Amino acid sequence: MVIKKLFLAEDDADDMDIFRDTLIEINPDINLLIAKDGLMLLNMLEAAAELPDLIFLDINMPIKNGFQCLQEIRASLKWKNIKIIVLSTSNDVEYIKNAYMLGADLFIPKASSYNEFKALLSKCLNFELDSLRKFIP
Amino acid sequence: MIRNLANKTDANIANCESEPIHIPGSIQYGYLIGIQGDALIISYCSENCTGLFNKNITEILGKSLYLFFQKDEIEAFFKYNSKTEQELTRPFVFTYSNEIYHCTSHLSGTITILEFELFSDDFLKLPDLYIQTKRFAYSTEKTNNLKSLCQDIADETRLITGYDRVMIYRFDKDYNGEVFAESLTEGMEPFLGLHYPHTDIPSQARDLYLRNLVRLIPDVNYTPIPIFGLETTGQPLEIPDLSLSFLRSVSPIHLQYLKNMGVNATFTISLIHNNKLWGLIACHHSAPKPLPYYIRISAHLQGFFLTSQLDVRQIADDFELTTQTEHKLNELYDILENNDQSITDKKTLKLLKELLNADGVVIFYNHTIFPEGILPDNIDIRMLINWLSSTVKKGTFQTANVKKDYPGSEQIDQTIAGIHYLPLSRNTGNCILWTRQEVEKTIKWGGNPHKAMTKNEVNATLSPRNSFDVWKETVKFQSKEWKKPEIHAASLICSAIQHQLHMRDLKEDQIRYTDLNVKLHRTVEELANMNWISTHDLKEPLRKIQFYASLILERTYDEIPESVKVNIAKMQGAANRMQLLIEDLMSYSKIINEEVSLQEVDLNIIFKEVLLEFQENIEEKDIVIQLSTFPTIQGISFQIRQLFINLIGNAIKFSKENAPNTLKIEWQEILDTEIINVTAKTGKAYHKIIVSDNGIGFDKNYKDKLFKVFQRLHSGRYAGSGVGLAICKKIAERHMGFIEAEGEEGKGATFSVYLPVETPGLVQVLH
Repeated sequence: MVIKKLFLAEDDADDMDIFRDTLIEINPDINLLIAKDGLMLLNMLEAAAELPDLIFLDINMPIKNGFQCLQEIRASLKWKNIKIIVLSTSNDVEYIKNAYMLGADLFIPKASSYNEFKALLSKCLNFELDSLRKFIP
Repeated sequence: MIRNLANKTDANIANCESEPIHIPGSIQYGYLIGIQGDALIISYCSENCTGLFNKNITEILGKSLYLFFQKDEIEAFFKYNSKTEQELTRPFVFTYSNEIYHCTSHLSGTITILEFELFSDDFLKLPDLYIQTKRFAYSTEKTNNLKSLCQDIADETRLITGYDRVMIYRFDKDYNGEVFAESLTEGMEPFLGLHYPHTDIPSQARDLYLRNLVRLIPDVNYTPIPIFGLETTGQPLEIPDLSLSFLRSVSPIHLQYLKNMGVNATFTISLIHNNKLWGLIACHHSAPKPLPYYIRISAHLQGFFLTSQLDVRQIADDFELTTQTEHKLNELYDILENNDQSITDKKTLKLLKELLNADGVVIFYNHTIFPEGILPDNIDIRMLINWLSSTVKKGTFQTANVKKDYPGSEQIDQTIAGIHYLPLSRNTGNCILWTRQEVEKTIKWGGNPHKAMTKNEVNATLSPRNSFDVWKETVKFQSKEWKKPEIHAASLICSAIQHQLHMRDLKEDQIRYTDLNVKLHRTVEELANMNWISTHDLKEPLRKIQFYASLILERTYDEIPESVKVNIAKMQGAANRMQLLIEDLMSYSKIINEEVSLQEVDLNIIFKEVLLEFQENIEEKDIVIQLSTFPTIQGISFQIRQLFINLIGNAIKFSKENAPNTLKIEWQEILDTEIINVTAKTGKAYHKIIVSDNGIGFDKNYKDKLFKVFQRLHSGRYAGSGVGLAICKKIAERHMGFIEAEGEEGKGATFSVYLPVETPGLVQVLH
């Protein structure tokens, strides 16, 4: 499956830029829409004519955090099947467990190396999600 | 051979006390006969017996008494004598030449001494005795203190006897005397309230007065009648001891004393209380005065009346003080029970001071002085208390004259003359001290007490003072004496005060603990917060640094100069180190704070996994591993793993470069009695896991410091956050165990982890 549309929910400006720039490097044709908090993400989903192929969801966001969004998205009939990848600075075991429990398809920690991130993102875009899963609940 | 036994020695002696007044060898008046043996041989007689019997002395001495008195009279006398009750009340009467004589007898050594006096009143007037007793009973009811009772007795005695002056004379503890009560003929100079030095009645006189209860001198200017004794050849003549003799001649010094006072006749009655000489009833007359027999007895009865009342009166006098003190005591008890008002409040201290009728009071507790009233400076108080606690070994201490005992009294004599010291506990020096100011007392002496005796320059004879003019002495530096009820009240209040002070301490402790508890909770909360803060506030920017550094390096690798690459790599290195540090700190805090529960941890598996993780490094450094087998323990799996990751990681990190490296990991089960550094040995069993290497080791002086956070012994050359071993220690402690290190520089290091075999639980998180 080819990914055409991506949603990113992220409040940090640097992380937004990093994501966008890296994405352009991998595939400049993918349409990326960015929400800067949880509420905005949900509004974007409401308003979208076309649903995204993949959502990248940061946990720590104001107004509505990643977990809350995850819950709501998975609870809705329209969106419950969208693939969601959760991003976090923390590699707290509880966070990870929680993310999967709430229905995330993948949890990845935010990278501290450019190459690492680029490789990771590529794999995500190829839906090689299972290989990235380190935690089996 | 007939000898005159009269003591001719003038008072040529150093000191009154040694004058031999009991063997004067003469009598004042009357007749004295001393008989010995069953035949009643007269071995001694007074010279005037010649007149009585109309015979020469040679015809009397050595002859039997039977020659002079009727046989049945004598026998009746001895029968009378053999009664165990030698009462003075009914004397025995002899008749001779139609004269009636009453006779008393006593034994002096082997001599029976018979004393005869003309019987001038021939019967005891019972109605008089009845009246006398009734009046006494009435008096005890009427008077409400000792002094007024004594006054009544003095008056009554004068009424009975007719002497010009009757004094009740009372001794103090040094046997100085005070005229306590007095009955006088009008116009005479009063002696009431005067004090007389103890030398006026010397000690051998006082001893005599204890045995011989009444003494009569009918005429101070009497001519002594010598006693003659018959000396049997070969045996030295014993001078009879006349201590118990009524007619005994008295000391010439005493006679002089009386003459100097202008007294011509005296009669004294001993007042005995608790087997001690309490005082005397002293009767003086300005002219010679004989005293008939029954009058003497009536007067003596007054003496008994008085002494019978002494205890009762003492108690009654004390009673008022006791009642007052009890009242104050109860007031204090109420206040102390009701814990609101503290004993060290000014108001309560004031009551404490008044409890003992003191001028000042000090509570000394936990090295703090709580003063109230008239007191010297705190420095002086402290010095006094120091002296007291080191000098007074047992019980309490009181004095009305602190100058006598305390060397530093000059500093405090403006405010303190008397103290009552009550220690609260032996070790701490805590005490209560009551103080009294001096009360200037003026004592009136009958004559200069320091010149009671004067030595005649010419012939070295002693003579009593001839001036009895009132001599005033001002006594300073003495406070009022501490009375029994007051001292008793002090000891009663003692334990109540101790209790209150302890309660105070406990309350203060409680406040402190509550305070600390609150602080502790706050700290724990803050720490918990820190955990979260560390994650997001510290880690985030760090990650960014790392990322951008990698971005530059990895994306534009070919375009940047070598030097820039190097610098950026250094930047990354620093950032990485910081990340490690933060992660370690987070682990450390997690270990303390995180709520976890015990699991079964198979140490064999732990070690296998840890060694697997380090496999590359082990091979790289060519380390030979010696691994024992291990038990399964109760613990927190990830923490135990972390512990050994750190220890084994260190062992690998600090192995020598080129030498053959070994890493030994062993296990023992051991009792705490065998562990040197354990203080409380209870026989508890521990697992001892030993990780030892032969790497670069460490200076053994640092074997404890190693475990402190940020303590790095090999910083610079070897990477490390400095928290690793602190984490190990915390993990061991969390499991209720401990960790020890042994090392030698250049030789290697051994780390021993002790974990209890039976863990009752984990050290719980504070919440």
